Amino acid sequence: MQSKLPLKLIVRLTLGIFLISLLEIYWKYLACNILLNKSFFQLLNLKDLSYIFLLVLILAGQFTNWLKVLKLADLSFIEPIMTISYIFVDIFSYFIFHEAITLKRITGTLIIIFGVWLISGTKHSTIMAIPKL
Amino acid sequence: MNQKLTGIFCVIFSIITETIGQVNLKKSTLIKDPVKRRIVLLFGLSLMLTEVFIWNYVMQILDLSIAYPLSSFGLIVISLLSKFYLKEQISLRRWLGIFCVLFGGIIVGAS
Repeated sequence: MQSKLPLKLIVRLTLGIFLISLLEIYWKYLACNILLNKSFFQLLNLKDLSYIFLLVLILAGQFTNWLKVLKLADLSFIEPIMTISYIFVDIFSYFIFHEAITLKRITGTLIIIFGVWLISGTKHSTIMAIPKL
Repeated sequence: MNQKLTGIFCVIFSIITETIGQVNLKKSTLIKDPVKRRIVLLFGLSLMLTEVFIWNYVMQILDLSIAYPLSSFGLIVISLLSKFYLKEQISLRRWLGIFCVLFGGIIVGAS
């Protein structure tokens, strides 16, 4: 069992979790405040387009980082670990959108943390043959 | 077909597009030939973009308390594809972790 993760992978995973949390919160903010009840043509102004551009920028950043993470570890390793973003989304939703944090959510979050701890203790990368196209 | 059933079908379709998209993105990082790599990367990317549009539609017609727990099952599909298609080694500990994350995700999503 390989439990020590390379620093590069830890940094990339942390950045990925941060970016996906930011993306979800910002997307929700846009949906609730900027995009709400607006048609496509109503969005064609500098202010709204700059909000949308920022969303595209975060999406592009997340995608670029995701490709780097994919190079460093197994998909079955990183995909479940990324769900830790639920926790950050919950915390920020509590402070920004004043959403309630219920006992059920806390229980689910603790189970996710336990699952991520289990996964993080496994070998992060399998030496594999390149699959045929 | 009622709206709820359409929504559930859309969630299943979004799981399929997302998982195949993710697997192809991972596969693109393993291919050395630049032309083949770009084809696989673009295929994966286009599936991921398709998933975003399907998911946006799901948000409009299905309750989040149904959509999120259902979408958590994508984790199992990705793990199975990683094991059998990408030939990743998944230990018993990782499977346990994946099921914990899935279970926790269902609870969080349904709350």
